[in-house]
Amino acid sequence: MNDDGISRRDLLQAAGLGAGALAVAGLARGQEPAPPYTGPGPNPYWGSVGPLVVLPQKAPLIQLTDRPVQLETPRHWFLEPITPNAAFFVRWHLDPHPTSVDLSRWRLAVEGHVERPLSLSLEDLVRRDDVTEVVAVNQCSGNSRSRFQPRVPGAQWGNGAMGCARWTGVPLRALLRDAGVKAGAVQVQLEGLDRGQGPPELGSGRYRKALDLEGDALDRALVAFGMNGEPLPLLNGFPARVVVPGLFSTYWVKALAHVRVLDRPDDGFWMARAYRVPLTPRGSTTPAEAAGATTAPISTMPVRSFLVAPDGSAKLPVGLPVVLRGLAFSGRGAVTRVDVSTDGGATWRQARLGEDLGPYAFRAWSAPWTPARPGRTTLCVRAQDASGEVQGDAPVWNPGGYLWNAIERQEVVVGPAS
Amino acid sequence: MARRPEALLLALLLAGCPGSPPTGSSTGSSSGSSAPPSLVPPGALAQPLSRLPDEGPVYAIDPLPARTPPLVPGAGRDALVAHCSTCHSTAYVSLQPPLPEAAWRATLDKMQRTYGAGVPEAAAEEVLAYLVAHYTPETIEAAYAALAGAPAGGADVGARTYEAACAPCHQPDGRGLPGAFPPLVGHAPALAAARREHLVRLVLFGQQGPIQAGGQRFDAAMPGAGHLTDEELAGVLNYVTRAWGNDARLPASAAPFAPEEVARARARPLTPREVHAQRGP
Repeated sequence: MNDDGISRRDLLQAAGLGAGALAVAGLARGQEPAPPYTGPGPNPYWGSVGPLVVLPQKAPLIQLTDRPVQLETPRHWFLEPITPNAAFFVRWHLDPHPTSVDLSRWRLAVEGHVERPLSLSLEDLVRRDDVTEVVAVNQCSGNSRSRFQPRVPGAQWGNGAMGCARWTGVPLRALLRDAGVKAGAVQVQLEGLDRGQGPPELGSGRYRKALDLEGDALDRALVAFGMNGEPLPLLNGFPARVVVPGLFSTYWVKALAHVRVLDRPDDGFWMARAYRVPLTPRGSTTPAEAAGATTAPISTMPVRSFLVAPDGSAKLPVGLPVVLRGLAFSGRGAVTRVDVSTDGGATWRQARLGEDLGPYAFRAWSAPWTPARPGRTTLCVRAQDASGEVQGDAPVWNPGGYLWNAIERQEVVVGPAS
Repeated sequence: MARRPEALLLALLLAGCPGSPPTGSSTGSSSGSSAPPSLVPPGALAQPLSRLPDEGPVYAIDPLPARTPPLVPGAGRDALVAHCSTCHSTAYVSLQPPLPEAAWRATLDKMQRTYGAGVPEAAAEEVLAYLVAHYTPETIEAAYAALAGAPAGGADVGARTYEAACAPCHQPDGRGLPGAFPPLVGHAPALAAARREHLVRLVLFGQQGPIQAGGQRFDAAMPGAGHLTDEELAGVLNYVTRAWGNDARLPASAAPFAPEEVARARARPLTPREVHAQRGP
């Protein structure tokens, strides 16, 4: 051991030169590839386990699938309440999805059960005088699906199928007002440019989602062309996408092409067969009861909170202060309170909330902590929203892998300081 | 779209600099031909090079690369690749947790009935048997141990590269998928004979634009595979121009593709559209 406390053996190992370090030819220690799956137990990691990949306009993100593309945002990007465009997660349903849009031909059609169908260019949208902004969380319905027990098929997201941006666009209600919704209209159907291979009669090959004309979700909805003050990346829906603060991503149709007013409820594939949840508390059921459960289209996001740091990858010295940091949000009204526990949930104390960016945005929180004893302990975080809902410990289970919002836990190790 | 000035400068410097480093990652060259197949999808560390777009109204990104993790070897794998790849890459299979037989059966049933996959019953049974043999809680660890330990020999670098990088679209039998991915049977030796340099640029940089192959028209974009090494790309070109009976269609005078040929083409980067425009008669 050297006087500075760092041994030669440690240095060799850190450089990947220790005995047995090169288990796989050409790969340094710690870079050995993991299989692309976890299970049959719950995914033990914060995020999913795919490789980091670089795609156009994006930072290195975790690849779940390559065609169509699904990318997850790594944990450390959530130290801030605004997710940069380059780091924002990506989830397409249908292959091919656009890698090219000709703005001389792209038009947003506002059509269907309306008096005056509209055909709007991107310039038409950008130049309107009712352009507005909202900061809102976009979270995949299946975020954290890899926590389910028993596991369910689907994209095996960790916690990073979410992001929060400042969205700029035109209120969907304003476009509908311009087009003149006819009497008897009940829903508005949104359709993107992605194209699947399924037979046309099934409707699975066109990505279509519908919002009720009545109700406050549509009041909040935008056709957004701006994301954090910049154009949308192509993988995030350039030139325009739907933004529905409070609702899961499935309604935030990307590369939007059609806004179609319907005079009867959408009975198409993506509403009637996909993205449905049991009408039970928290949308939870059991494998035995799932087949008989009454279901409805998924809608509002329940309250969630996340511990981003410390992430458990390094030991914490006893007696030295650290700051627990993370984010919280809810689709049912602003986060009003975040509590943390440093003893596995036995006792709780209130965290300090960061800047309020709006009721549908990520709310940063922080809580200082000075570990008092060496050993292992589990950090926990739970949030409460304006509707009074508080996160609990009970898991969620449904066949689609939707609506997970149990309390997050992170095991950490406290070491001696001398 | 806004790009950072330093990225643009780097792109211009590299574009104008013969003998500049390859556009792909520099990690590939260290993987000797005797290395076991990696569990990391090919190109996982590839670094795409920024290029200036044109000034027209089309906003485009390069075709998205196929980075499909390898599937465990076994009977039924080719049927799975052939039928499932029509709608999605097989990364959708390999990312799943190990599932019991009933769950795999329900998933196949959902693809058939709910999404209308139209897989013939016999092929669906073959796919199910493959999944049950390798991707259940009881079987998956042994299956991945076999995959990780699979001797690299048997298949040469070209065959291995083809399986990992090309077969997800062009199919293990090189016949492609009608309407989606062009066949290489017959087509690859014809290209090698008439447009040899184009074929090298095609695998390096990808291509975007309408083409004819095997009497069919295709208009899909193919991503480049510049993240692969010169040896891997030369190997895969030799493989696709000779496999599946293509060797009989290749002119006797055709020399094998050499890594140096790939290196020369790599020094002059093109966009997928430029590759199409320069493909020749």
